[in-house]
Amino acid sequence: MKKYQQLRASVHLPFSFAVGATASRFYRALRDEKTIYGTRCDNCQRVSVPARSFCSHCCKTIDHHQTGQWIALPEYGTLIGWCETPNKDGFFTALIQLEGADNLLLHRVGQCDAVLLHKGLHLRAAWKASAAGTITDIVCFKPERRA
Amino acid sequence: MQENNSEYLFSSITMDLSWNTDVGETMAGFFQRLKAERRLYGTRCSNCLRVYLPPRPVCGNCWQQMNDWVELGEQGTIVGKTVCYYEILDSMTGKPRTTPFVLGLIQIDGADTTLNHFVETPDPDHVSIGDRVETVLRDTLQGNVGDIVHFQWLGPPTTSSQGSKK
Amino acid sequence: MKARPVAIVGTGQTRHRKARPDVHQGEMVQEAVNLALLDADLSWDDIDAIVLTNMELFEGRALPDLWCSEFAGGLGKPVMKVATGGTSGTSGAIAGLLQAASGLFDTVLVVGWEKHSEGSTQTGMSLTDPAWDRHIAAGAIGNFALSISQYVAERGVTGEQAAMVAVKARRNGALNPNAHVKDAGITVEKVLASPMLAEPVHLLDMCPQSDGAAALIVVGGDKTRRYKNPAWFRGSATRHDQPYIGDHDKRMVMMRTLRSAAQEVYRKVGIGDPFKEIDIAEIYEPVSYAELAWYEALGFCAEGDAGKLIESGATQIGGDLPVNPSGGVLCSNPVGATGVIRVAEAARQLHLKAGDYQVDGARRALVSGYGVYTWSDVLFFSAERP
Repeated sequence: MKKYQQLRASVHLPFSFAVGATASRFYRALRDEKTIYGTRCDNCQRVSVPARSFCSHCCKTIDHHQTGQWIALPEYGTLIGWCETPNKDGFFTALIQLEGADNLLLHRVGQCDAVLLHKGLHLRAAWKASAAGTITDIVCFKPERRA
Repeated sequence: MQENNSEYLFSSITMDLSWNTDVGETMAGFFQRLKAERRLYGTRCSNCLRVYLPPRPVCGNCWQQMNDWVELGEQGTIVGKTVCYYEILDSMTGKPRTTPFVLGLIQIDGADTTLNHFVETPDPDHVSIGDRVETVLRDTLQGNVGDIVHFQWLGPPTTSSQGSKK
Repeated sequence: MKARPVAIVGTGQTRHRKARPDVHQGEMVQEAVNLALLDADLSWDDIDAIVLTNMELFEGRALPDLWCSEFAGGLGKPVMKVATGGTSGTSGAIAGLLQAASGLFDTVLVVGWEKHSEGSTQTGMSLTDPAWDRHIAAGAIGNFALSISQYVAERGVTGEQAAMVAVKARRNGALNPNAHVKDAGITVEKVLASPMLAEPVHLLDMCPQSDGAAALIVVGGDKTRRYKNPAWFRGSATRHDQPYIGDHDKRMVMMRTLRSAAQEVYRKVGIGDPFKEIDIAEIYEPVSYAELAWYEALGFCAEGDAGKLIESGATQIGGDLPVNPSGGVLCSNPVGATGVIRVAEAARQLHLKAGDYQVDGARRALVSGYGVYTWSDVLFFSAERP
C-alpha cells in the first residue's frame, strides 16, 4: 500500500477587478489619447505614474479632477534598470524614468539589440496599433537618438 | 480592460491554477483502503472513542494521536437535509451544478461524525431527517474523494436497515 | 504585565453596496480610514500601528496587505494582517485592542474590507481542504441550510419566526445610511415569498454579499483623556473548533465555540444575566435562523425560547435588549469588514453617535463574530471606564 499520496488540485474561477476611477481614466487615456498620465500630490508635489488616487508619502487623497493634479507626461524617458534575461517574447523587463515623473515605471524595453542597453539610455514608447485600455497598449519602450 | 456601462474599467481574468497537495499519511491510507476494498474507514480516538470520518491523525477534542482504523458500514442515516435551488460554481470545473439538488448530513454506520454530501433521490421533497441512505461509489475507483459519487436515498428506516451504532 | 485600559474612540465605514466600481480595494480601504480618523479627530501621524483584515480568497488577489496597507496609511509603520474566516474583523479588532492594552502602541488602527463583487464568493468559500471538501462544495448557503434543518428539528422554530429576524434587520437597516440592504416596508410575508435558496432558507433570510470597508481607532494610556464617550474595552474571548461541517453534533444547536466564548466573557466582566445586564448587542448573524440560535448560545433566553424572544419584540430598537440595531450582517456583509462593523456599531452606540438607530441608555454592549462555526469571538464594551 502506498504510504503517501499527492493530489492535483485545480481551480478555475472568474474574477473581475474594479481598477477605480483614477486608474480608469489613466487606461482610457492610454487607449483614446495615446497619452501617459501621472498624478501630482499637492502636498509633496511628487508626480506618480501610472496616475493614482492616493499619495502614500503624505497619506493624502489625490483628486484627478483638480487642476494641477492630473499631469500629462511625455512618452519618453531614460532606462534605469533592466533584467538581462529576455522574456519569452524577447522584451526585457525594465524600470523607466519618464521625464517629469518622480517614480519609476515598470514596463519593458525592446525592439533593439540587447548590447545597446545601458543605464541612461534614451527611450520612447512604442504604441500598439489597436489599443485596448491596458498597460500593454504600450508595446514597449525602445531606444531613440536624442540631441 | 473591460468596460461596463459606467465610466469605470475592470480587469477581468479567469484564474486557472493548480497545486500539488500532499494529503498526508492518514488520508492516503483512507483512499488506498477505499480503492482496494471499496470500503470507508474512519479513525478512532483511543481516549474518547470517537470515530472520525473524514479520517485524520489527531483527535482535536483530546489532542490525541489516532492509530486505530475502523471499518464503517455501507449505509448511513440522514441527520440534516436541504434542497438547494441556487447555482454554485464547482471550483474544479468552473461550471455550475444543476439545481435543484439534495444535500444531506449523513451519519455513516459506525462513525460518530457526519458527512455533508449529495443525496440522490427521485423525490427531493420526501427526504427526511432519519431516512436511510446507501453509499454509491464509482465503478473504477481512483483513490480520491471523488470515488464517493453520492448517497442513494433508501427511505425511512426499517428494522432491518437500521444502523447499529457501535 | 497587566493590561491597561483601552477604548475605541473613532469609527469609519464606507457606504456598503453591492458593487463599488468607482474604487479599487485600496481606495475603498482609504475611505473608511479617513472617516475613522475624522471621527477620532486624529491624523495619519497619530497612528502607531495597523491591523488589516480581509479574506483574499474571495477576490483571488494574493497579499492584500501588500496592496492595501499603504492606502491604510501604513507606509513605514508596523502593519499585520489577521484572517480567521468570518471572524476576521472581530479577531483583528481583538488584536488591535490587545496591542494597545499591552502598552506596545498608544494608537492602533484596525481596518477590514471585502469586495465581493470582484470574485466568486460561494465558490471561494469552498476552496478549503483540497482532498475532501472541495469535491462536495455547496457554498455557505447549503451548509447553513443543513445545520438549520437540525436546529429546526430540535427546537421547532418556524419560518415565520426566522422571517421576523429578517424583518427586524431590514427595518433597522433602513435607519442606517451605510447599510447595503434596507427595506422599511418589509414584512414576514415578503420574506416567506422570496425565492427559496436552500430549504428552509429564503433569499431574504440570507445576508447579502457586499463591497465595503470599516475602520476603528483604538487608543490607550493618556490618549484616552480627550474623548468624551470612549467605548471602553472590557474583555474578549475567542474559540476555534474542528474543521469539517460534521465534526460535532448539531453544531448550530450546540454552537460550542460561541457558548464557551460568551461564558468566558461574562465571567471576566461579571455578567450573571446577559438579557438584563447587556444594553445592546451587535452579533454576526449570517442568516436569519442563526440569530435565533445565537440568542440561545449567548444566553439571551432559555434553550428553545429564541422563537418566543423574537416574537416578544425585546430585540428590536426600543426593546429590552436591542440586537443589531444597525441592521446587522443581514443588511451589510463585506466579510473581511463585517466583524469590524460589528465592533464599530457597538462603539457608535456607546459614543452616542448611532443617529436614527441610537439605543437609549446604551452603556454596555456585546459583540460576537462568527467564522463558519469553526471560530467564535465575543467582545464586551462599556461606557464605564474599567
